[in-house]
Amino acid sequence: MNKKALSLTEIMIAMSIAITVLIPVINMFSSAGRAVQKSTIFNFATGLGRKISQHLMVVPFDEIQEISLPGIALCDSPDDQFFSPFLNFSADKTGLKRITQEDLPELYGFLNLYDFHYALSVSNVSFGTGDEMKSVSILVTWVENGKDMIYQTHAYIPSN
Amino acid sequence: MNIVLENYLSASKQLIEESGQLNLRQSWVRCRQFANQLQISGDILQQLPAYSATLLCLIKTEEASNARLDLLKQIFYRFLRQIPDHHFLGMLAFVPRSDLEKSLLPFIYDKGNLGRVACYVAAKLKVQVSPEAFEYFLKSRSWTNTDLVNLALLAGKNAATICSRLEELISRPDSGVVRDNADELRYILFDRNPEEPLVPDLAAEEKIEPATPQISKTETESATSLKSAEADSHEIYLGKAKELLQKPAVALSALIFSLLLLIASFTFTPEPDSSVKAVKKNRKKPEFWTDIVTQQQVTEKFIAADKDYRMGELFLTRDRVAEASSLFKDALNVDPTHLMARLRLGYCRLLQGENDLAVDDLKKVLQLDPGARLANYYLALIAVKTGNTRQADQHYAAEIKVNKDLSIGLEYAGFLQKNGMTEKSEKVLDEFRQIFPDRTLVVQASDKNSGKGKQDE
Repeated sequence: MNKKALSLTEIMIAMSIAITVLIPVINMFSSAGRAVQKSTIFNFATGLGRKISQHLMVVPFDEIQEISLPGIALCDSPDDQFFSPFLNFSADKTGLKRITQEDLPELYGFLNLYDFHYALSVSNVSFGTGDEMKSVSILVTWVENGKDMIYQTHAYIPSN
Repeated sequence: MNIVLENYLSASKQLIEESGQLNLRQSWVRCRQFANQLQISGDILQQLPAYSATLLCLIKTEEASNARLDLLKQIFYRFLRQIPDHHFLGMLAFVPRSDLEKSLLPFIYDKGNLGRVACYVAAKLKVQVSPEAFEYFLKSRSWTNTDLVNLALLAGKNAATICSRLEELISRPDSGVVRDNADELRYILFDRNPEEPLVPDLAAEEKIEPATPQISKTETESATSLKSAEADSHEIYLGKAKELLQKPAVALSALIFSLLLLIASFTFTPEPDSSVKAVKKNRKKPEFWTDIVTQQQVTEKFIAADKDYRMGELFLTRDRVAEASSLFKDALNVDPTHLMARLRLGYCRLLQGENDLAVDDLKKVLQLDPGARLANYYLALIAVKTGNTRQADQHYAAEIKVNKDLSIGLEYAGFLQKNGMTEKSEKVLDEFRQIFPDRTLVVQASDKNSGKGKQDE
């Protein structure tokens, strides 16, 4: 019998020891990683909500329209009043940037990965002629670890 | 000395794995023995993991002493550049609150990772901060939402006081507090009521400047000799490791272990590159979403009902109770579990004099959520209206238990005073005076109650 060779039992023992040691290590890494991931996404969602709410304040009153759930995706979406085009670094239209793989690959990667969408639930209230108000619920949705998540914030916009 | 340090390390490692009160754990005596043979120096702290260094600090220094505070500051300065592991947090839980407040809280002012992690750790350890401090924290640096949630957790029972201070600060243009930060913090404290701290998203690792601890000459010498002894022992260990790896069984185990580790690192990387499979597009609309803040299920039905509810609130701002009431009813027709719509419908009915219906609505709210704010207050108003003093007293008392609103507190005190319960009224005022020490309103009401001015207040 070759004493230097390994028996199946030895390999099995080695593997079971390795797995026993590895499981807590994996758990530690994965739970810490998930916590950081969760906070990054939360920050992004709140920032997005705030950006939409600030934008609503400058959009003409009549142009604030309902966007039903599941809403509009943030990447690869058709032109809209909020995010597409997203940036323009020059004075003419040649500098327009959209959230696409070509224009903004990093942002696109993040948004595409979590399937970020936004929707607006708009209510019109009229207190009399010329005295109107819109109550807008801003809904940011995404998928995190297979779970559909939502962040809600609200804005009230007067007609004048 | 080298052996002592090694022994201390292994004893502290064993101690952290054990449970129960620190000084009753099995390895406590061993830890103390070895710790007492060690001289605290910057070099030794560099060689210890965070929990071991904290334990050494707890063993070697007196509570509230300057030596302990200095040492804790060195430990925080060194280790709070990244998210602490559960061993370190577990050990910090044994550090007395007063020591933590003096040593940990100053780091929150730091503009980098240190400040963010310090805030997270303070929130994790449930350290409470005085309401005045929040203004300075907000002024000192920029705050992300995660940081603000963690900062809000430091408010403890002072949330109401902090909210009113922030309100004042926001209205003062010279306060120096970034308005957005103050607004967001107020919103978190008032509306979101977070329960667990959030792990901050840290910037790329910062360079740690040495914390310049004062080390005596003898300590430096012993540290140098320790270093050379350490280097020797490293070589011995390296040789032994090489020998071991020449054995096929060990080599194979090491290979399997490395492979598994490699696979695990690929599988559990939290933020994979965008090339990794993204969420499938054009997926079905889900049955519900989970609210990131409250962790409650949000259905499309709820969102539709919420629309009517918010319109109702707008009508209430103009005192158009009938329209508001009908909108709240519409909201409840869409989703009968919409708590706020039910609460405000109860309020509208109270204003419209439909007391019985209002009581039904408000009791339903309390059935669904016994801690619902304002439900007991509205019930108290109805009881006052119908002349049921005892019931009004009960509802007011239940309300101020869950809602430390100053105006409700003053109203309750006034009600008690009016009904001859002066002593109880004073007690209520005392409670609110403690929560809002800077509000003269409380004092004035108290003066009115006692019928004389209180010069000292």
